[in-house]
Amino acid sequence: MSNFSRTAQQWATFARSWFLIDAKMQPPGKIATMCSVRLQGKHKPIYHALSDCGDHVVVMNTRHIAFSGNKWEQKVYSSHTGYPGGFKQVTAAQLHLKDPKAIVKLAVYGMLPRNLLRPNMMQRLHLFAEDELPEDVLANLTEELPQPRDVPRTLSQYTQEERDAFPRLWTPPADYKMK
Amino acid sequence: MAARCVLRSIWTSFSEIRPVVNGSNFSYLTRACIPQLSFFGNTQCRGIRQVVEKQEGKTITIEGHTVDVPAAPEPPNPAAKCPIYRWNLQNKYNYTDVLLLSQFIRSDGGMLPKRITGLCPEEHRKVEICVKMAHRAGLLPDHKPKLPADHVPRRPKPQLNRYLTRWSIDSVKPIYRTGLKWCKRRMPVGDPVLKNNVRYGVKPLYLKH
Amino acid sequence: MTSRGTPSRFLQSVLQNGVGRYVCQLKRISIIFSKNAQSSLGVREFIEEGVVDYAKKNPGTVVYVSPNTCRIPKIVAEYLNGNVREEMVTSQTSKEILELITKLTNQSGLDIIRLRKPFHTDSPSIQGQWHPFTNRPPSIGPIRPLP
Repeated sequence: MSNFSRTAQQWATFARSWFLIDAKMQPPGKIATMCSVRLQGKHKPIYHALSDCGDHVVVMNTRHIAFSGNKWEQKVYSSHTGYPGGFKQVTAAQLHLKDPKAIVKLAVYGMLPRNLLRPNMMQRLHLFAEDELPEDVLANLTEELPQPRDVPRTLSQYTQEERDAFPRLWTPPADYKMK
Repeated sequence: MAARCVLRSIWTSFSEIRPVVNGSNFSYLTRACIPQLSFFGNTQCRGIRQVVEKQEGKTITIEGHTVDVPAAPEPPNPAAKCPIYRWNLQNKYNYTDVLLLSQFIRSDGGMLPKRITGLCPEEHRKVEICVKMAHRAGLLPDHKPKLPADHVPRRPKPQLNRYLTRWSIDSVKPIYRTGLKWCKRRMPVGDPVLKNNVRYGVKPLYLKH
Repeated sequence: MTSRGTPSRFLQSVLQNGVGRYVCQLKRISIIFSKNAQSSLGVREFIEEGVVDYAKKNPGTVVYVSPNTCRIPKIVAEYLNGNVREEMVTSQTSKEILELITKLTNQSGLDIIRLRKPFHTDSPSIQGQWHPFTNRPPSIGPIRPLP
């Protein structure tokens, strides 16, 4: 114990790890819950509200997120510029076309606690619209988190064997001309 | 339009020999067009008809052969009339089961009539809703109405991923006023027709977000 | 007001006293009182009733009883680590004085100051402190090759 320094151990305990989330075809709310837990450090056994032990989260493919229902048209993001008559309301689709990172960013921002640490946590969130990450971010990554929603396969992604193996539920009559 | 007519007139269904000489009798052929089998895209593995095209000199012969359907495994409930009940699939399919849904749709994505498929009205409606949601989720990319080759959409639509979409995309309006806390206007997700589906899990089903 | 500036220490005991054998840390106790002052009435009562029993019960402690001309009777407790505590017992009953002496006997003699944590260990865990890679399943592996 005498020649063993605790400093390195302390640094290892409070080291910030970098998580990668692939947001392709994922709902932004579920992405945001995963992000906010990691950004606050609540997944660690050493969590304490006063020790700033949050991690970095890298979210890629934010352009390819998926909303359930008709939320692309129905969901509305409101803001106020501060000037008279400056109340802006845009739908999710319009906001997404303007800035493909904005929806995930707002979702995470709303899920973080409202305190003075929130800007610092948001600085540790790295959003990328596509799946191309810069080299310095790639070098830091430690773990890729599993996607929250399992993406269903499209019909063209099934192989011909799988289609043939699926039982034919009904046979069309012989004289029916299939369009 | 002419190109479409040509294309449509080529694919005739019956085993008739049609000498195609030049473009002059195309319009005649089109007008006299007898029931057709549109045969674009992939065969929907339904395989009742198959078009065979032969060329002998200047003559193109187009024949339609009836293909024998291979023997299918025996359904568990063969007495039922509806295919869903015959296979005991009530409340067990969703919009993600595209292999099932693709058996009930035409090549352009519309539903086959239920007098042909034999679906009972309730199941027909459920399958129809599932097909709609699968189309909106982009799970049936090859089953789309055929557009002419030089078609340019007037307003290019942005490609937005979505799932469990109940209403058609153009019919909904943004909810600018979400309402007070105790009477919120919710956004529908999924369809209440499918709420009796078998679910493996403890999470309750939320149809309104 | 926070207590960050006040002196503090970790929870500890003297040489793991009581883990195997308990040694009473109170070395010497002297009861200083006046023979005729009114404020020493309770102390005089205690000396009549209880001090002999107390001395018999605690053979490791030396008890001095020193009559003195004083207005304020007091009890001076000296501990094995050198600490000395003085307690005023002005106009207290003999029962209160017995309680006070029992408390002084049971104390370890360490300074009574703020404890930083209600728990402490000199030997932290053998398997080491937690860090982001402890108990990480090997199935996680490295990041997949990104396009």
